[in-house]
Amino acid sequence: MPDPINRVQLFKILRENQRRNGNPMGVEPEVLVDWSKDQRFYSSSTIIYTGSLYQMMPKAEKFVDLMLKSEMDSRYSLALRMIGSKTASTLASKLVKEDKDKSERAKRILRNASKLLIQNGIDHSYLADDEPYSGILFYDLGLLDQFSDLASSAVKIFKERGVRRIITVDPHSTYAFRELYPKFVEGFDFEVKHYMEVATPMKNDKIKGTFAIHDPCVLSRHLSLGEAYRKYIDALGVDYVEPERSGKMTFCCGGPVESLAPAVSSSIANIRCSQLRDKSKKAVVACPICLSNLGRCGNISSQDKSIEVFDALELTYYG
Amino acid sequence: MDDEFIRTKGKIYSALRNPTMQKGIQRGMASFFSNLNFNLNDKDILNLSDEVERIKSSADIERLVKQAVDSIQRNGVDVFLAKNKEEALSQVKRLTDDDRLIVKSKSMVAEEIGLRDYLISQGKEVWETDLGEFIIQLKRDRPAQMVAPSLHIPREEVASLLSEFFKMNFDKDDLQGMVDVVRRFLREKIAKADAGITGANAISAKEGTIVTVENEGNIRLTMTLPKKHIVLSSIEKVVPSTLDAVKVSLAQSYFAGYTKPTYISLTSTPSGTGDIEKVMVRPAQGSKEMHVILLDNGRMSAINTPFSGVLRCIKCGACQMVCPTFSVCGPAWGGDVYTSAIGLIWTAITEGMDKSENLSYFCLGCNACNEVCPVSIDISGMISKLKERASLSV
Repeated sequence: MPDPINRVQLFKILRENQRRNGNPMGVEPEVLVDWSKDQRFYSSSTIIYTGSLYQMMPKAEKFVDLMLKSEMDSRYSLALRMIGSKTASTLASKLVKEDKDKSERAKRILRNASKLLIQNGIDHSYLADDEPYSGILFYDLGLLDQFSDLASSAVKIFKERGVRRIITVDPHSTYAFRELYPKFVEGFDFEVKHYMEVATPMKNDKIKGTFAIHDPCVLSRHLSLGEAYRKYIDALGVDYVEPERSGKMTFCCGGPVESLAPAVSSSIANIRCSQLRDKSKKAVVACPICLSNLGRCGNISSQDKSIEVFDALELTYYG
Repeated sequence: MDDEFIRTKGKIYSALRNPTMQKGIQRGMASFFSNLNFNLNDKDILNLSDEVERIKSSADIERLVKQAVDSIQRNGVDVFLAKNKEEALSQVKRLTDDDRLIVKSKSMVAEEIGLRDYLISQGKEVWETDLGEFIIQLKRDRPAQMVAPSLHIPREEVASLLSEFFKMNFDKDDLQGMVDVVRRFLREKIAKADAGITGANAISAKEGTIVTVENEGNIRLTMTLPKKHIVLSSIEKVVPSTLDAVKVSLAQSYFAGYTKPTYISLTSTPSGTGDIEKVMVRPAQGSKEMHVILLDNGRMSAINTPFSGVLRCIKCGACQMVCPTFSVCGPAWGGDVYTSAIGLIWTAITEGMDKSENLSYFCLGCNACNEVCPVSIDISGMISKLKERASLSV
């Protein structure tokens, strides 16, 4: 291992990204809001909150790939270091440029979420350029000062914009708002709902086959929304099968350690993919991090081990 | 820059390149999970774990230890409180000075003080009587997990270790053959041993009774056949009554993935008989003398800290056996003694916070450990506390 990523280096990159672009992956603000073009929003105290997670994943994948490479080849670690510097070289920026298909996929997922809410009579607005990042990654890395600052400024923005009710599209932001923010920010009195708690999708006849259901840890264990998840999939009319380790006993996708130990993360993802693959060639998840982490290992595995991974919001269809 | 973190990561990464270890761990985890699931369908077992949680949560360790010391002494048994590893070893030395052959059962507390190596360095012949620990002894390794020390060593490697030691050939699929040879060897050693050292799953304060749970039968032999029985345990094992101690031991066995324990032993005094005119004569068939050493090693100072929950731990190892990071990193993810999940907290308590801080970054925060813990320890929350502490310096 020529140059393993250390904490100092990584934390510097993430903080610099946050400072510059308002999210730890450094995704450009226009990319974050791109999904909302041509979408209809309402003036409402209810908002859809993306937490930037689906939008960050394509870049995060490139970033993690670069880290994996840099842990094997020192030329890449030089590039990685440049990303952390203020004058990132064009080469370095190119190395972490999002894959176009993956970006489109993220946009589609978010559009589906918004349409789902409208169809369920939940008019909502979107804070777009003003939408704050929850800070959850900083919390997960033990960087509580940073998280606490981000939480305070997020709450300030919500209050200024007259937000009363927040509908989230991913489990991590839901957990941050519901369980963590009240401990970090005084007067956090917003109603926080995950989309699966408030919306029922239409039956989607276009989906064929049986899916192995993967419970995201935060959704099914931390938030106890495993049943809501299954009700949602049932409403879609999608057949699913329980893998070894499901529901509250689910097995993590490995995602949470990908920034500090990408090789540990991908080994865990491989194990999870093979548990899912034992049940079906297709799997459903409900979390951007699981989607990215399991999706990648599903693709790179050999033919007989490969598995296609879909987000529940992708199976939610609106023509 | 960030050397300690890099060193830890290097150790963990080299484990990722060890498919033999991973094979052993992953096989073990899969069969553990189906056994645990079976047990979790039993309402009585769930009720028992609730009860054990209450017993362990309300324990005032300082007071209970005082009471236990009095009770144990009243039973005619010597008892010593050891503040740290050095004090414990010096007690063992004093107690075993004249002994030549010593057998011992598996004990994480013995690992904490490096007991086997210490005794060997004192010129004693020492044998581990638990099969897994015996394999560890042959490999000069350390336990991968609290209940199944040789979890990371698949059958192929066991066969080659035994072949080398016994100078005979073992077929990797002839598990029966391997166990038979070890059984014959160890029985002979136990029968000839001068002293037997065991641990304890729980100790009752009121009665001074030591409770152990096992499936192999080696603990019973180790504590009864030699004339001297030494119990080496730790202070958080003390619970109010013998009934409580039995409940703790049963729960330990169920959550370690066994449907029912083969043996539970209650030991209060050295063996004796009053069959001739009601006059007590010692020993009868069991040990003649019994000694108890209770180790602190950082536990007392954990009370009233964010890590005090670890003192409820009954060392069933369930949290380790469901941990995704453990499944790929195995024992490399741990301190010198305790590995993965709750093992990170035990490392913080017994080896110091600095030792486990860097390990905390490899925790997913997935809460699988919390989900299976029979006494509801917030393992994941404690590990994230370690992470916070570690990140303060970056």
